Amino acid sequence: MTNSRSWILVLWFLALVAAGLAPSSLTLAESGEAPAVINNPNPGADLWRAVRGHLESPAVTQVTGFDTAVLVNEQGSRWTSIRVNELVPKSREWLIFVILLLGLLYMVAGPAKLQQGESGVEVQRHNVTARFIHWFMAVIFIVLGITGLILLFGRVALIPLIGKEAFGVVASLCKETHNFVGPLFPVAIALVFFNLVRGNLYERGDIKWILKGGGFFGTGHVSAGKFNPGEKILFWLTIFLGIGISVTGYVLDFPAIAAWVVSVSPDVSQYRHLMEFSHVLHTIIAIVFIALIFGHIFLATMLVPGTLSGMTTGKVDANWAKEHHDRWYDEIEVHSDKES
Amino acid sequence: MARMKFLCDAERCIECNACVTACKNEHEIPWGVNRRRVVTINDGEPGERSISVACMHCSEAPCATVCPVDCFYTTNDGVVLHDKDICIGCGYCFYACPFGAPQFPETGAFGSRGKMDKCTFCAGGPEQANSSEEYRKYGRNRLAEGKLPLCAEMCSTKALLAGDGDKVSDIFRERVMYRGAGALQWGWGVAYDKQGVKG
Repeated sequence: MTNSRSWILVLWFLALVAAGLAPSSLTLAESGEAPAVINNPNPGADLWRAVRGHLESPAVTQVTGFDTAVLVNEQGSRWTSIRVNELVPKSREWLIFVILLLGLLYMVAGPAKLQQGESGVEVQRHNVTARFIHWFMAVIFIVLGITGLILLFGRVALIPLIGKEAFGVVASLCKETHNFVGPLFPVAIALVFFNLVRGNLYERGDIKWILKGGGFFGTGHVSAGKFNPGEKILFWLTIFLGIGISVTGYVLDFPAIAAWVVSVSPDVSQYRHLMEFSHVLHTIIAIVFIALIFGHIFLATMLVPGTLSGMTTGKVDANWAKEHHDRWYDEIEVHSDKES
Repeated sequence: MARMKFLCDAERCIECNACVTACKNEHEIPWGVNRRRVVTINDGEPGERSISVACMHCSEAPCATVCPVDCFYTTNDGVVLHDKDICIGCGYCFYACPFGAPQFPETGAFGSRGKMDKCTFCAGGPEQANSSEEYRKYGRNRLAEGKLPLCAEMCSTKALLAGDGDKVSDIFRERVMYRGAGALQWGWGVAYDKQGVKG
């Protein structure tokens, strides 16, 4: 209502300006000389424009700190609105949607049973290094995910249950944990990258695997190497989302970094604006990342039985390897034949 | 009930920073924390103006809206206060605040943010009024003693006004009438050449 009324006002104003311009441009054409420009300084307007930060000469203050010379931070309310009205409700809807989608996938595709059953013979899939790196990242991810979700949803979800005082303690613990564990995440990203990048490059047959939907639908056999394209997509998304979440997280965690960015970048005028931007980006990436890992855990444990042991004991059933990763199985078979 | 408000008359403020000093002294505020600050625009040029700013105790405070632990509350006098026992020092209120009021002492491990500190309108916190606990966390509770905020009380030019919004408005209106025109006279720059406030 107020919006449409303000639009009408704007249109009315534009019409007025157009009506005012028409005769003056006519007289201009007749006389052929420019009219004297009336310089109308408005000290009141000038002052309040300056207060809002639109200045030619910067404001000064004797108080040191972040953005202390700025009287009005214009973006704060917009960021508040984004966090309260967009990020919190939409993150919740998105996570519920993903869980429902995975449930639907389970009902349609069901757990993938091995056609020949288990062979009882196990083959080595992931060595100790790979497993250690995987769980190193997994533990950090789960800790950061849970503490982050509590900080995001706590006010709407937990305060009504446990009250403000108790939640204050929980949230304080979550904040400290998130801030101290968070900086380790890029270490995990780097380790995972160097450990697994060789198996996750493009191979011939990947396109075919994707076109066949990974073999979930129908009974056709789908050929794959050590990592199928689904796992490769997971790998690369993990790397890129991980880099994004690490960069924004480091900015949020270490104000000195933000202060440095503000000092070198002409586009970022205020420390707070960078923090607001990083916070929104950090939350969006985190929610997409968590949904991705929901999918990863769900596939590895429920949808494709026999996969999890590859990451716990490091060994998988030979028939599982034959059916899901046939080209990799052929490779290790040739390899072990040579050894024996 | 009164609705407490701050008003800084930019025509009067002389950037003496006495409000900043008085505030720090009255509440024994730690290093690095400034509940109030004076900002000068066009410093050293014609049209220079200074404004003293602290928490403005907003009606719909963005800090309270965005706080992840919901630690803010508004008193019957319209003063926005927060509970330091609940605050986790996340800094969101500082990103949201239009006036840069929330401050963070570097008391956490490795100098990370401690619990937020800001102007209380000299109204303390949720603890019992004038208790030592309240003084340690929030500073003196002058409102409970029947006094107004010290920054405004001792302002030498009475540029900074604090108190019931209606009374503050009356005082300011009287000043504007005495000056003869708007707070900063619109149109005078054109009509009277250099006789306007910028001259």
